[in-house]
Amino acid sequence: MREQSVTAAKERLKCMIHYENNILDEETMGYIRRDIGNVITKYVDVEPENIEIKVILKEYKKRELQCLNSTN
Amino acid sequence: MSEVITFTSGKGGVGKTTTTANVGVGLSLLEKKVILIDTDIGLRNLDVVMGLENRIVYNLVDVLTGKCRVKQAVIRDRRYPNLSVIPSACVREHPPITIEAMQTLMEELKESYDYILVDSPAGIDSGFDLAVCAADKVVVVTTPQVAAVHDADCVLRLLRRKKDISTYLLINSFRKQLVKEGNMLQISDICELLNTELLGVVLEDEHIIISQNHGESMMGKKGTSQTCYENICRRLVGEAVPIPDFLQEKHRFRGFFWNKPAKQTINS
Repeated sequence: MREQSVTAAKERLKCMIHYENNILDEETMGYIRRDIGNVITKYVDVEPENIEIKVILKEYKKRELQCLNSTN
Repeated sequence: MSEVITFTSGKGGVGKTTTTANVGVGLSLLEKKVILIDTDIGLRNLDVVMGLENRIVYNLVDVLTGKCRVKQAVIRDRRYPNLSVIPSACVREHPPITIEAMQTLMEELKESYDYILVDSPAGIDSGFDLAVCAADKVVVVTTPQVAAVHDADCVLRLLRRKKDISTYLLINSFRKQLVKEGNMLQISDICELLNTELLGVVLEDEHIIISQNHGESMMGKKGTSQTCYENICRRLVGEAVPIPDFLQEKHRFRGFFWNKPAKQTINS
């Protein structure tokens, strides 16, 4: 029997809302990249524009996998 | 103490204008001096819903650009002595109106009215900014549909960044039968997802369409939404009116109080 549609709605909304409330906005990401870039250039002789920085929130990553598995 | 209350939603068509109109009438019937402001510049509809479309001389844009005095744009509703409206304009271009001008207008109106209800346009751009710029309270209107709830969350996130604004949730177009069948989100689901204090719930009611066809409000008329609006008005003026558990068959309410966090009281 097809599950009640409200269950699907709740799960999808939970994922969407959690994701959007936890991603870093562009402005904050900009500050993080700048600060990390400054630290790296202290120890490594490299231009800041040659540094690529990715920030992964571990808790979010776990949740993202849960959401991807529950909705097809 | 005058209050500016803005009704917004993010998503269009969820019932902001209908809510603003009915709550406005309801508050005026509680002997409060009320003025409604339509900030949907370009697609004015508050006056349409209230049957005041033939009474417009000046509008909000005229006031904010200094083309007329505030009193010239105010329409007094002859049916409700405590109720007035400033309609919006039907313009395509962006008029040169500023947040400062809007804030000045709101301060001026606070001297004459107990409640200033602002009907916000849909979206989260400059129209939204204008509508919330002077708000003491913002009521985010949503329906139990996924897109509306998602958009409400986006709006709530923006509002959390603003200081000195209390935000509330209003669930519109609630359909008991669909909820019982498991095909519509329940009140508790929405409260949990959006984590915001609940102002009230309005039942889906086809009488709203009928009354708007006549340019009338629901207050004092037959219809399931009438009591909902009445309760919302009473809560706004400070009465502790519990939100009924609409899914109960009989009128024995296992209600909960709106001013406690939803998470704690839903199952009490």
